[in-house]
Amino acid sequence: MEAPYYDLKAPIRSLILKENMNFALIFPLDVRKRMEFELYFFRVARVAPLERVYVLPELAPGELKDFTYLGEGGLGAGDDIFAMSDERPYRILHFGVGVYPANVKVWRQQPSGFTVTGWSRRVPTKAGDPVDYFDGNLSPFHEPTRASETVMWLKGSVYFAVRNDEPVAVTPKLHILGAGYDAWLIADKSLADKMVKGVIPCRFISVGGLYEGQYTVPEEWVGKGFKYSLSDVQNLIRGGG
Amino acid sequence: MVEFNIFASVGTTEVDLAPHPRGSPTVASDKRRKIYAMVLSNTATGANTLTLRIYSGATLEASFSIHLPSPGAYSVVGRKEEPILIVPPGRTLKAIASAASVEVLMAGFDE
Repeated sequence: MEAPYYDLKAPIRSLILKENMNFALIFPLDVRKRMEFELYFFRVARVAPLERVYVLPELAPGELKDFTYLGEGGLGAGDDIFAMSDERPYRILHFGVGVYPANVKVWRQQPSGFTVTGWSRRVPTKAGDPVDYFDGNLSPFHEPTRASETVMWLKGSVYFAVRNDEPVAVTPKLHILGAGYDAWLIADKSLADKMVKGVIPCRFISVGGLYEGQYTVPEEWVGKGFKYSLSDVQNLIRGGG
Repeated sequence: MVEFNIFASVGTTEVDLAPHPRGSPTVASDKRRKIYAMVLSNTATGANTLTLRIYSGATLEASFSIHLPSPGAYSVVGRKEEPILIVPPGRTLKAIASAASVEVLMAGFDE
């Protein structure tokens, strides 16, 4: 069950959680020396499928659209399709993004301004760089994969950039497929410790890749996340906590 | 991967053969352009010759002339797995005819 999580081409549908499963969102606090992260733990209360096809404007060969939000009125126009209601602070969206056609590349920022990266570069990745993208080969339109895995929460944001690497003008489409969760926020430190320790199963999700930057969470979450540094984790593995 | 068509009306002035819509006659540096079907219609009153040319920048690297004996349509149909013409990375595909004109339809893809 755990193996697909390490497969970049694992279908996102195989990674969607079901009711009563635990997950944790991992946010960065200090990724340079102290290696400290803040984790928010949840248990899935309800699940419902999430699906949408988002049609982008026609792009000429090589044309790049820089980072912006997916708007109801088009790229960067109208309401953000991922905008979440203030009344639902414990709603989490968990999805992959399939890309059509295959040679359209997609870069993400989450939160906006911070490009999702797995690399370690002094200069942050820009839209169009030869790194940190997924395309329709890695995350096909009909079968979005782990490579495009994204979560959204109230106060979160996600921006996309796209480039057409097909030889002709195309009208790209993004297939957003996953689930929305109503979740219980687990604010009990001893339970959280057990999940970090591996005693209680939990799906850990790195939010926004290995970016370092600021993030915001709903007021209702504030003070209910837990910070873990190397010494905390060492202590837990050693048997403490 | 998107398959595409190339449409061109080729006369006595050399023209680019570019994928439709809005494609470039020059193949991307990491791709090869594979043409697997071609339909030619000679609209001139007599015999005609269509010459396909492959350039690297301004340098002519290869050309191939097809004699079209009289008004009429001619087709060469291969399969995607067995293309009839491959344009290497970074090369540009062009065509010229000895008389006006030859209507050209190609089917292909880049990979």
